[in-house]
Amino acid sequence: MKSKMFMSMMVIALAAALVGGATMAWFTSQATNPANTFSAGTLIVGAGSQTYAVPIGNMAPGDVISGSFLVSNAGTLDLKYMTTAATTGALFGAGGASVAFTANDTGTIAAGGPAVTVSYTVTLPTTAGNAFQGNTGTLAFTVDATQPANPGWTQ
Amino acid sequence: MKRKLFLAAILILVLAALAGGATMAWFTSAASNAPNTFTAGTVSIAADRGLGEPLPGPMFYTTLAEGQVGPLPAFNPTGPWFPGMAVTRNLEVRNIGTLQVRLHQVSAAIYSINGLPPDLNPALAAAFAANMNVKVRMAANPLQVLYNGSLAALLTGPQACIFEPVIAPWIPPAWPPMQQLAFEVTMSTAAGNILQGVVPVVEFFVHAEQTANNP
Repeated sequence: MKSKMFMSMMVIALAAALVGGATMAWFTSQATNPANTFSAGTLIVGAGSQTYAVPIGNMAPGDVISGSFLVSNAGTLDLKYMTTAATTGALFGAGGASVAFTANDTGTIAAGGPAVTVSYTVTLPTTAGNAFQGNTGTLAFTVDATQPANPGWTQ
Repeated sequence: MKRKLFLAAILILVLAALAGGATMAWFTSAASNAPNTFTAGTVSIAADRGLGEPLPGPMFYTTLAEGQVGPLPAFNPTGPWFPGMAVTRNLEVRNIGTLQVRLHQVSAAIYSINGLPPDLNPALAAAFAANMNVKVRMAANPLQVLYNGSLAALLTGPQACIFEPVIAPWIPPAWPPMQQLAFEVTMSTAAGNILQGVVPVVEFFVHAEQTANNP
C-alpha cells in the first residue's frame, strides 16, 4: 500500500515537471530600445549685487532712494521668480523707512534669456521725526524661483 | 521400398525449389516518400523608434547628439526634463519571424546614471525610477493600454501586458508586419530637486511569444 502511494506521488511530481517544462518551452523573442536619455534640467536663479542711484547713507525725512539689482537664469530650464525684501534695524521700524518694488519683482526668464532688472525704492517718510535720527537699518532681498508650471513656489 | 522413399523425398525437394523460384519471380515495385522536412518556425521581433523617425536609436533623447545613431541625424529631442513634463514617443515593433506573435510583457533597465552604472548610486537611481511613470499603449488607440505604472516596477522584471497586441508572421518579400506602440513617459511633479541635473539612460524591452497553441 505504501509502495503504491509512493508511486502515485512520483507520477504526480513527474507530470507537474512535464507541465512546467512545456510552459518554459514556448518560442519567445525580445526587442530592445536602448540608450534613452532623460537628462533632468537645472533650475538656477542668480541675483546680482544692488546698485543705488545715490549714496544710501545720511537719509533725511522725505528722501526716496532708488535701487536695483539683476536677476538671471543660470540653469537649463525656464523659470519664474519672485522677490521679497527683508529689513532689520531701527531705521525700518514703525513709522520709519519702507521699501517698495517699482519694477520686475516677479516675472519669468527663459533658459538662456537675458537678466532682468528688479527696481525698488527706499523711502523715509516726512513724518519720521527725530526718533529716527542716527538710526540704521539693513535691507536684503531674496529671489525664489521655480519652473513656470509649478502652481506654487515649493518643491 | 527404400529407393521409393528416397525418390519421393527428392521429388518433394525439387517441387519446393520450383515453388521458391516462382515466388521470386512476382512483379514487384516500391515507392518512397521524399524526405519530410519539419522546420521549426521562428519567433523574432525587432524594434525601431517611430513617429517620423523609423531609425534605430533611442525614442527619448534630450539633445540631438544623444539621439543620433549612425550617419542619419535625429530631429526630435525632448529637451531637459523637469517635474510635470510628459513626452510621448513611438516604437515600431516588427515581426521578423515566421510565426504569429503577441507582445505580452514589457520591462526596462537603467543603463547608467550620470555616466556611471546605477549600482554606484542606488539612491539616485531609485529616486529617478520612482518618479518616472511609463504608459505603453497602442499608438493608434489610446484605450488599448499594455502597461501603465512606475519605471521602478518595470525595473524589477517583465510586467505582463494588460492588452496584448498580435503581429502576423513575416512572409517575405513583403515588409515585416508591425505594431506601433506609444510610450508616454511623465516625470512626477513630486520629483524634487534631488533629480536636478541628473542624466539617466534607460533601456526599454518588449517581449513577444508565439500565439500558436499558447493559451
